[in-house]
Parts: sequence; structure tokens; C-alpha cells
Amino acid sequence: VIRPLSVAAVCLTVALALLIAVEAATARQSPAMEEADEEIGALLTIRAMGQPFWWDVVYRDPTPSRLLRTANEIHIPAGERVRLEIMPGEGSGRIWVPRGVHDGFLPGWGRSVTLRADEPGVFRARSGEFWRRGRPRMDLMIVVRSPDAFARWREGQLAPAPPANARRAEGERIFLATGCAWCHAVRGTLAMGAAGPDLTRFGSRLTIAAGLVPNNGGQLGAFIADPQGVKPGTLMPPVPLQGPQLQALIEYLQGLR
Amino acid sequence: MSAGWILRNLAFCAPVLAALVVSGCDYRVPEDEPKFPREMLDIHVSPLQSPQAGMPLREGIAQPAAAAFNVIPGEWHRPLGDYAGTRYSPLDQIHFENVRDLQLVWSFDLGLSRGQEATPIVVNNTMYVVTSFPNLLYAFDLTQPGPVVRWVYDPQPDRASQGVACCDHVNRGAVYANGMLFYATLDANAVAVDAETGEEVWRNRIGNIQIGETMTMSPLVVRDVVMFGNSGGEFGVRGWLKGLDINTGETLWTAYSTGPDPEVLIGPSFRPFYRADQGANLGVTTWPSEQWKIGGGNVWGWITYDPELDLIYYGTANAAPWNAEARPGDNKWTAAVFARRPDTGEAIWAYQWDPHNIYDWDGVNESTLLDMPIDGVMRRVMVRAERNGFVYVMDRVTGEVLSATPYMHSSVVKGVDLRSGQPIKDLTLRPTYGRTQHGICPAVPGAKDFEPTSFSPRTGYLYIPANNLCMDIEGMEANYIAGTPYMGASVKMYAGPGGHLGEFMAWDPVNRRKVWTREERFVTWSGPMVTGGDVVFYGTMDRWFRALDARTGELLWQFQTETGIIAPPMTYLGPDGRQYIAILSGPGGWAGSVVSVPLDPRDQTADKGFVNAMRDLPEYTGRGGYLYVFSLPDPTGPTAPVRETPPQVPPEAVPAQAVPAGPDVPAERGR
Repeated sequence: VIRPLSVAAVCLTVALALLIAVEAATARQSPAMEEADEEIGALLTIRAMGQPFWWDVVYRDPTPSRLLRTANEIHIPAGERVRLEIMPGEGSGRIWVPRGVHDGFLPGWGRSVTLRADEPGVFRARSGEFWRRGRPRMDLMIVVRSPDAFARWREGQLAPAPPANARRAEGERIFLATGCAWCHAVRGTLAMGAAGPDLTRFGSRLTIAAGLVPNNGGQLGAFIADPQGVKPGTLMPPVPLQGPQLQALIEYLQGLR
Repeated sequence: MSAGWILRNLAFCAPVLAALVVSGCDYRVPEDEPKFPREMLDIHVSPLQSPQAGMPLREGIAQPAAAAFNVIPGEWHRPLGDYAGTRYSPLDQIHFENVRDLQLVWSFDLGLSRGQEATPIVVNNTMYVVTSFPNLLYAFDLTQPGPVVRWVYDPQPDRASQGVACCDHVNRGAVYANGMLFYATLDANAVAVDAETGEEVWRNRIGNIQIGETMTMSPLVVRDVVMFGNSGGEFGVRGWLKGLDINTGETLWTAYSTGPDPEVLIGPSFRPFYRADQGANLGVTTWPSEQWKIGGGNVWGWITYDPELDLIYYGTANAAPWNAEARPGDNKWTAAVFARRPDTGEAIWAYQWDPHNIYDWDGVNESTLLDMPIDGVMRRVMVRAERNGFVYVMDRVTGEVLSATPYMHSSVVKGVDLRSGQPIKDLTLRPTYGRTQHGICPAVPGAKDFEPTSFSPRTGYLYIPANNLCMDIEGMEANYIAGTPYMGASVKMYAGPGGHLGEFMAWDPVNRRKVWTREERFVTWSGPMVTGGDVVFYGTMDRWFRALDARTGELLWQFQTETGIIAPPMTYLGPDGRQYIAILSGPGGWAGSVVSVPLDPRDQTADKGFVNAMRDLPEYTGRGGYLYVFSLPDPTGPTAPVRETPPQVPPEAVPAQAVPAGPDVPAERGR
């Protein structure tokens, strides 16, 4: 006896199984770099990876050379939906995204969230980790800009660092020679370190040490001279420098705009 | 519910299911029609006349590219022998019947403990040998009995270069041209030495060891240009090939492997065959910002040259760092093949055989230039026994892949799509950050490393020294500090299927099959040499210098050397008119560092994981470099006996023979 219902049931089951099998087979064959291309194409996607104790930020793009790497600060266009992927690296991947950019918080890690802000402004996403000695604070600054200003910002950030002029050349030399370059990258120079935040446009950032203190010459000098004093637990070692050298280095870093 | 019930129901919905299957399988056919038809290429070729006169040939087998087959019988001017890269000598005094009588004539202790990878060069009754660091150049007088050193040239390389050499302090030998010998020193100097006096003619420091740049490759001379490439892919060194004036040493051109088109010497004549290789500034756009500056693609392998087309061919090495997650994109032009003009370096075509290099497969293996029948038509091809375990047969005029056939086990690459030129890789086997992938084959050195293949026009076979290695690999954080290792991977290697680490095989490139193969205990790190006497010679890391019948693979003779062999042999005619065979022993290189450094065999990930596979090597060989010269005690005559009919070889690969060392094998004992 053939009952329509059982025919339908078997058809559906087999069809589903086939679909899954075909899907799996074709997915396996897809070239390496096409992963999740469709999703990326649809929304501006930013990946923030939690390192100890800073945020490694990458703006995704289908063209590899247009991948933008920065740190501790994301800029997004007002009025647009933006996908923020939060991942744990060597450090924590927990973060609270404030109301106004996103409504709610991200429990756990490896999640993505859609951001949207209507008006330009500055927000601060707090680390979801308890702030204690050995696990210092790491905040992610979120800067909302008008779409035009955002586009300009992104293009500017993609370019290599401006060549150091005569006045800043000494600072660059110190940066490359004293060990800064072992951990930090400044695109356009030999500094290609990836253990610490990318500093290519450091001078344009709002804060130092992942949202801890405002970015100005005084705070920067204090942080370089005594990182543990400013941010107990940070992995950045103190860099022993004489006053004039420190001043030159500060000038160089502040000029990376 | 019975099976019958399911089947009955299934019958009713068969049409629906069929439609689903069809729609599900309807994935896009890649639109990779070649953009540049042959007529548009800037190369003019005449139809191939096959085969050339004067060669003892059989119909239907591959032949060396006639113009590139510039063998000088009795001498040996470059490690690959000729421009085509055959490593073939027509000498036939030593042949498959009398090779069993081969004897040691003299030997010479180089007094060095690192790996020896050079091929001796013989010109004008003088033998030239380049050693591992400190890269001494010895000249031996062959007119006198025994090892008589005429002179030694010492380039005095910077000792610090030893610290930035990735894989032992090897050198692949000198090349002779215009009365000079050209070779590279470990500290990235190109030197030219007068062949008669041993005086330095010029030197040019073309690399910077402060950023990890070293040189180990053997150069190639075409007319007035000598070409050198750099090493340093494990230090994030940007790869290049430079053309130098042979008389002054002045750098004429530099062709980078990554970066903007003008620096890669890609101009209006550039006609890559496949769409994936077409586009402006791919050496920049296929990398994350600025990563191409530290992206590898070094040129430390072999260059071959076709005088008829006036094109040089070479491959570029792995992308840096090993951890591919740090460099999304195709990462051009790493793991690619270039065809360039030797005078200007201008690129004519390129083909990236391994886009987004994941397993450190360096594409530096030699391109052997052959003419061979494909579908009944003689074609100008180049044959590459590639690292991914496939033999590529490519049209050397256009860069089209004509076939890609597996010669060793590959768990990662399932095949090559000939329409797009793209390898079909199992992407589930990608190592990712902090996650180990097990059972990756071939391992990082590939199914064949630098050790060059050999080709005999008499058999039509390519002799491939292969690795049977698999590995576990884990992605790790890679951090660039100039002049320090930039890797981002933890590797442990071990033997592949069968438990043996190496193989030595004869490959028929026309019928795309393994003719015979011979298992080796360790990786076969010595390139073979085949002669007009139908004998193929090669060495093993467990101290055997072997001679096999080039047609059947039968072991005819073997000699136990003082130390393991990783260098290719060569042959020459002495001033007495007799044929001699010469080879260097001296284990080391990447494969032998457990002996030459020596490293601790208990450290499974030492030397990028190779030590785990080679941990038994210290039981088979010690350190030390020696030069050996062999000959027959009483030459039987100038010609080889004529074989009535070539022995019929079964169509399937002959099963691997056990490694014999029994009393029935005529073996000469070591000293």
C-alpha cells in the first residue's frame, strides 16, 4: 500500500540527506579564500581578537591588500550595520558593547554582533573580564563617523606610515633599534612585529594601552618609561631611554597619523 | 517498515530526487579559457622536428629539448649537466654489464662536518668542488694520479651567515663559463674565480645577512649573464633572482618574486596562461598590506634554459611565514614558476601552482625541458616533479599545464583542475592557529626536495629521488623580527605509507606512470645521474652509492661511503680516455642536521620537525665530507654492448623491491 504521507516522508528525508551530502561535497571543494565571502560582501566586517592585553583589529576585505589592521579602536560609519566578530586570541574574547552602538552584551567568546549607531560619537566597549592584577583592563574604543568621514579614515589608515621627516628620523631610528620593532609594526618601515598593537597610525588614536589613558605626549612618555606603573600586568617591557631619546620617540609616534 | 517499503516509496519520488541531484551538482564551471591564444604570444616557434639525428632513439618516447641539450661529452660544466636539466651523460664505457667492476680510484677528505650538496665540475682535466661553509673552491689536477690539489680559493664568508642559514650550511656547486667559475657563498656574495689560476675575478655582495638573506643555490650562465637567487624564506626574506654581468659582476637586473609589477619585472610581454595569474600588481594585491615585503618566494633551486625560445625557467619557494593564516590571499608569486628573458629578466609567463601556500612547499624544483609526444603530436614541454606529489607536464611556450599526475602519496591534493590550473586541495586539512592537523602528506619538504631529477633520452624515463614523508603540523603565532626565524608553525615529520622514508623511481612522462620504484630507508636527498651506458647512479643517506640498471631498476653495484650522501654524482673522461664517476659524501642539509649539527634525536620538532623522521640517522652515518672518484679497473672498450630489444616493462609499476644488502650483491667495502 502506498500512502502519500509516507512517500512524502521518505522523499523529504532522502532529499535532505542528499542536499546535506552535496553541500558538504561542494563546500569541501571551494577555494581557500572564498570562505564566507557572501557574508563579508554584505556587511562591513571587523574582527577584534583579544590579545594580552589589547585588541587586535582587522577590517575584512575580499582583496587581501585592502585588509586593514589596527588596534584597540574601531571606527564605523553612522547609520550602517557593521558586523563585529569577537574572538579570543592569546587573551580574553569577552567584551561588553555599550548601549547606543549595540543593545546588550556578549557572553562567552567567538561571537559576532551587529553594530549600528545613528549619530557620530565615541563609545567605549568594556572588557568582560574582571579587572585585576595580572589581567589588566583592555577596552575597545568605538568611534562613529559620518559615512564620508569613515571612508576617508579607512583609506588613510590603509596607506603605509608617512615617511619620517628629518625631525622625526631620530625617533624612527630609536624605534627600529631599541626593540620596539620586535613587537610592533609600522607599515612602511622594517618594523613588522605582530606581538603588540600595530602602530602605523598610532598618533591618530584616542587612547594608549587599550583605552587606559588618553593619547598625549605626557601619558605616552610615562607608559614607555614604566609600562607596569601605568598598566600593571601588561606584557610591554620598560624601554630604558635617556630623556632626549624618549622625547624623540614620543615625537615620532605622535607623528604617525 | 521493510527495505522494500522504502524502495517502493523511493521509486515514486525518483524524478524529484534526480532533479535535486542535478541541481545540487550544478556548480559553476570555471571560466578559465586562456585569454592569450598562442598566436598572441611574443614567442615565435617553428614546428618541432622529431627527433634529432644522431641520437639512439626509439619512437614515441620523450627527448630532451634539442637546443637545450648541450651536453659536453667527457666534461661537466654545471650541476644539472646541460641547459635542459637532464643530468645525462652519453659516456658509455661504464655500462650496465661492467658496472659491477667499478672501483674506487681516489678519495679526498674535505675536513668539514656539514652537509655537502655540490656536484663536482670538470673542465680541461681539472675538477672543481665547492664545499659547504666556508665555501672553499678546490681545483684538482686530473692529469696526475690521486687527489692533487692545484689550488684552493677561499672566499672568506662572514661567519655570522651560519646563524641565519635555515637548513645547514650547504652549497649546490659552481658553474663553469668563459674560463671562470661562478658560485654563491653563504653570506650572499656572488663570486667569479679564474678557472686557471684560482684568482678572484670579481665579487658582489648581493644579499644582506642582517635580514636573514643567504645563498646556497648554483647559478646559471646564459651568454654574458650569470643568475643568482636568494634563500631565507624561513626569515621572511623577499625572494629575487638577479642577473649579473659575467665579466664585471655588476647587477644588470633584479626580478623580485613579490611586490608591484615593475619590481617583479612584469611588463607588456607578460602573458600568463591562467586567469588566476592575470591582473595588475598581483604581487601586492594578493597579500595583506605590506606583507609581500617579508613574504618569501625565494629562488634557491634550479634554473633551466631553452636557447630556442630564449627563456629561462625557475620556481619560487614557499610563502613566509609558514602559518598561512597570517597572510590571507593567493600570495603571488610564491610557489610559482616563471619564464623570463635571460638578458633583461623580463617575465614572459608565470604560473602559480600552489596559491596560498600552506605547507611550506617550495616550488624551486627543476623544470626539465623535454620534447615529447602528447596525443600524437610532439610538444615543447617542461616536466616538474613537484612538491605536492604530482608530476606536472607544462607547455613551456605558454605555461599551460598539460597534465598533472601523482607520483607520491598526497593526502592534501586530490588533483589539478587543468582548466583553471588550480590544485584541488582538501581544505579541511588546513592547520589553524593552535590546532594540529595530523597525517598531512607530503610533509613540508614535499614529495621531492631540491635534489634534481635525471632524464635519459635512451629510456625516455625521468629518474625521481622522492621523499615518503607525512607530518603533523600546528599553526602558531608568527612575529617578524628582521634577521630572526619567521615561521609560525610547529611540525613533526614521520614516514608515509609503507614505513620507508624515501623512494627512487623511474617515471615515464609520456604514459604518466611509475615504471619501477625502489624503497629507501631514508629520504633520497641525492639527485641521480644517468649515462649512455644505461646506468643510473645516486647516493643514499645511509652511506650507499648505488648504480641501478636504468631500464629495470635492478641494483648492479653499490659502494659504502664513509658518510651519508646528499649530493648528486657526475661523470667525465679523464686525460687517459677513461670514464670516471665522482660524488661527494657528507650528510647534512635539512634532512641530515640531526647528524651534521648535530641535533638531539629526541627532539621531535627539531629542525622544523625533520629530526623526528631522521632520528635513526646517527646509527647509520657520522659527520664528514669526502670526495670519491671511481673507475673500471680495465676498461672494456669505448662502446656499450648493444641490447637487442629493450626489456619489456610491465605497464603497472613494478612492486618496490626490498633494500638488499645481501652477499649476492657485489658490494665494495668502505675503507
